[in-house]
Amino acid sequence: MGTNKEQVFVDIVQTRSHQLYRIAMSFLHSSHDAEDAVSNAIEATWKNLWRIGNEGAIPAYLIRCTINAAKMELRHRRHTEPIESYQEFLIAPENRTNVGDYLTGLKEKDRLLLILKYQEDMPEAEIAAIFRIPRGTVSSRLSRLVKRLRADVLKEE
Amino acid sequence: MTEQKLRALMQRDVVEPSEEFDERIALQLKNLTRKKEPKMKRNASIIVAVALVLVLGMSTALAAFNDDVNQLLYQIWPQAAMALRPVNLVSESQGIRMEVVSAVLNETESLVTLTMQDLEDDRIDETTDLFDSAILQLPYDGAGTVIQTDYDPETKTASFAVHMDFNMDHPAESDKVSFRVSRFLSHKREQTVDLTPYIVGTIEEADSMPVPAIRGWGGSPASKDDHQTVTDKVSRLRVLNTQRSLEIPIADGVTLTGIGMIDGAFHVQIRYSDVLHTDNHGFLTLTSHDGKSYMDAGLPEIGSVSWFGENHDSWEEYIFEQYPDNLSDATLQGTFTTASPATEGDWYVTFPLSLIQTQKNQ
Repeated sequence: MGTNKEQVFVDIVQTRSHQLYRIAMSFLHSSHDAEDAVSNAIEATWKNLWRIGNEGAIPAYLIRCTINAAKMELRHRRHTEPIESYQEFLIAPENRTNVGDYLTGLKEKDRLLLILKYQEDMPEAEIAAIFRIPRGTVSSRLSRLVKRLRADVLKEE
Repeated sequence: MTEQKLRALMQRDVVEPSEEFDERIALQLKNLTRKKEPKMKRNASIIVAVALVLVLGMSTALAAFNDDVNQLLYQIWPQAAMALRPVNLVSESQGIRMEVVSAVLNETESLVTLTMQDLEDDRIDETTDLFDSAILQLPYDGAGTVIQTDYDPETKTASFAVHMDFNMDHPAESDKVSFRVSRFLSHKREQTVDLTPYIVGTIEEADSMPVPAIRGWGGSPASKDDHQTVTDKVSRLRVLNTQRSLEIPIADGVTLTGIGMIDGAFHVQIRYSDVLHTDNHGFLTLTSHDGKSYMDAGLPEIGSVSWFGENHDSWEEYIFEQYPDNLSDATLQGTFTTASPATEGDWYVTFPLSLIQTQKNQ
């Protein structure tokens, strides 16, 4: 192993690879494609490690790369997929929630905010670093989204 | 609902990766950290993004699919699936009947369900691939996913769901919209071929030539600047001399044309016949005697280069800059996807945009 930054990168990938996979899956709905997206993101982050200012910025960079790789994978899809590829998404009706339905209807940036905050339990400061926006903006957007969620979805429960 | 409950609901249905994923990441990290970190790079640039737009909606259209398929569509694209509206329009071309069963354009996404039935022959099967040709024709950039949802061998009918996301940066000016399919592949087959016997005697430096006009390369440049670096590197590459092709057929439409060492890298050359009409393609896996795979670790920037030959043949040179110390004890396997030549036609239906557009978009 080389520099300390390289070791930090390896540690981050090892502890966060499942999180990266879940984020990629929220775009791609395909394990194979999500794995490819994460792998591409790791490669891209490694190559740009020298330019990432400090070690603390590596997670946000890695997650941004994962989001970009997932979007790129979506744009490159050319082939028809067999339905069997999606079987793991089948959720028993009794376990389904209208929160999931609601999420897919949101704009991408709003959906990602909710996923990072509530599915991935990320601190708002880290989410702010990923989106490159002030932390206060993250708080206000989340507050607005949860308010809408309560109004649109939870009242149906 | 409290934030705790929201968190619990969102975390309940997430799909976790397999053990193979963990192994893949561990291998990738091992290989990356063996290499030197790049020192000089200029600013990266952002990749272009293009997206499309549309939305659709209704419910009875899903009656064409079985319950599992309905459930799946509801789970993957619930907003669109719940809003699907019946279309039931038919187009015939080349003895093949396409029926658009339902469609919806909702916010920035569209979903179309359709069937394709061969009325005369066996060109439609359970592997039918619409091959990037199924599109809801709207004046926006977009990207999509096509799923084959069912195949009925009795009626030779395949069912599909086509989902697209659009970048709707301006209102649609036309009152009508068309859905079109222009070609498809079928009888797709994936086969793995053992190429190990051909490694013998290839350790010597092989006869080489400059890369002909490049069609493309595989690999993962991290940025625009990396892209330029890779382009420069590709332009200096030498590949196995096609004039000394081995001409060994290894699968339908797939020929092993060369194998050997060039400038310290292990090269394998494959020719795929008429790729514009078959989309034949494949990948190679080189494995050391102790089980280490070199499929992804060979050369991250240039995994392979390809160029067109006569009759739309594609020559592909797979380059392993890293390979087992004892190559003669290694195994080499090729996994190839082949298909019957594409069936081309013009299947399209046109209907009022208002028929499929949800209220929000109108």
